[in-house]
Amino acid sequence: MNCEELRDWIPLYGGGELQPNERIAVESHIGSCASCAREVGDYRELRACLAPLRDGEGAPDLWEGIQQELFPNRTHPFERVWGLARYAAVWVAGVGIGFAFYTVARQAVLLKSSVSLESVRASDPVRQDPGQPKGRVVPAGEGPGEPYEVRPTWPPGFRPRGFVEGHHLPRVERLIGANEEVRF
Amino acid sequence: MHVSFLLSVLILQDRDVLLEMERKVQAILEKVRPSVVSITSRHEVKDKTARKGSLRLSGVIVSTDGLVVTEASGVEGADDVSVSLWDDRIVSGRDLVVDQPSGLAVLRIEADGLRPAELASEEGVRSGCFAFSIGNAFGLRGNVQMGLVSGLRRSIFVGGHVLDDMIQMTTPVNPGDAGAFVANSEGKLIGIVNSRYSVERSWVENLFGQDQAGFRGAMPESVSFATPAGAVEFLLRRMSPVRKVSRGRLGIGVRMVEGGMRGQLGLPVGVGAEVVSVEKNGPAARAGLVKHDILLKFDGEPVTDATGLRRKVTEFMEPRKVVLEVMRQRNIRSIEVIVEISNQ
Repeated sequence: MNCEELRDWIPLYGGGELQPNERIAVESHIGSCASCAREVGDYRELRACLAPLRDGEGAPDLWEGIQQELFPNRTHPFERVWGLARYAAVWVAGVGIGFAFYTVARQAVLLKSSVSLESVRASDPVRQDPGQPKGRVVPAGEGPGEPYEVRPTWPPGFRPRGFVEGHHLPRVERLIGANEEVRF
Repeated sequence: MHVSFLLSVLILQDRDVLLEMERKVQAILEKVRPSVVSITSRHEVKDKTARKGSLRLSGVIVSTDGLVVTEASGVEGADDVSVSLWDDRIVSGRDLVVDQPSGLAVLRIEADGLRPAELASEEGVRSGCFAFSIGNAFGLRGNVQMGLVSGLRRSIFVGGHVLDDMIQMTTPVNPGDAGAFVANSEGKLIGIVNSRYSVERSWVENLFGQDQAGFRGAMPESVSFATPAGAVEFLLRRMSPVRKVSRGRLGIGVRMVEGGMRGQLGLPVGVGAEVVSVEKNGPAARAGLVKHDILLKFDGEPVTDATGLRRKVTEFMEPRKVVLEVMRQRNIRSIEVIVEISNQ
């Protein structure tokens, strides 16, 4: 047996797992080779140190300590989730504020004009916007010359800009090209 | 050409020219304003609260016996219509006639001392002529705007209908101007304001309203359209006592043959209208006309303009047989068709 072959057998020798003739061969070599004898001795010492771990005993914070030494900047999983939750909360708050702002602005637009400035569908009757404040119908004889009209009653001091009461001007939906179909 | 540029040039050139122009415009307004009326059409709004709504627009007196012409969609389906004259008299409008093909409506009022508009001849209306609009924008009586005729015989799609032969103008029009008087430099009626075409509004205008958009410099550019006085004259002439408007019809749709196809078929320049649609059981279908036939002659005259052909057919007062010269698969044949009269 030479030194290279012995190294493969050291763990088996240290664990007592060799056959009798193999054990005799190993002991015969380490009796005459100082370096191999030293290696066997180191192996036995290491095995003695690891014995408690192998049996299931270990410090409770052993792995954390090792992990901290191996990966010093890594955060705890709980901290990661907390960070994501904060990020999501900011997004939800931002969307909520934006939606609230849009709703308020839209209400302001509905109050400003109760009917569209231009009629698009000619055959439809005038549509009253549901956002229009309640008004009173002025019967014939009242008002400056117009027999029937709805006058909205606005809150005190409030007068929306650009309010028009159904002044009519159709809007062209599409221009027709010079050589499109002519029907008659 | 923008009006302010014109005025700037005049001011730089000669102040007297500007004063003279001012006097002429004032004379036009003196002549025209008594013919312009304010119309309020009342519509029952069918919702839970049953509130009433009204539309305000303009109109023009066209006869001494009380005929008033206005834009059709503003009064169509109205429960009642009231007309306010230039001297603030208010009268009720009745016998409403709505003519969708021209976009006009006619109603009758009873009042004395009416001053009807003087209709201009169609030949005198050309691109570049002055076009003054006198109407009731936003309820402001007698509101005047100045512009130019920028195009003739335009076709537009508005309120679900196609309107042909419209006058295109640079004259600004606003809500309330529908049915307004469009005058030339002699104070004669060249058209009735019909509609406006503008580019899509900015999101600012949509969200905050038109006045806010103007403040932010986002006002859209627009082009306005008017129904020509010729259509007013046709309507008055063809309106029957039962409040129907009669028109000749063939029941087809045509389009002028384009250059490349004309060359392939060997057609003379400017002649030939391709049939693109044939109404089922209409006069043309019964006569045997089919899609892709090329109309070469109508009643002996070459077909050079689709809109002109339409005008000829609509002018028919009573049913009459006409001969069409038609090209079908490069073979020329004659087809007899009876022009029908429809009452709408």
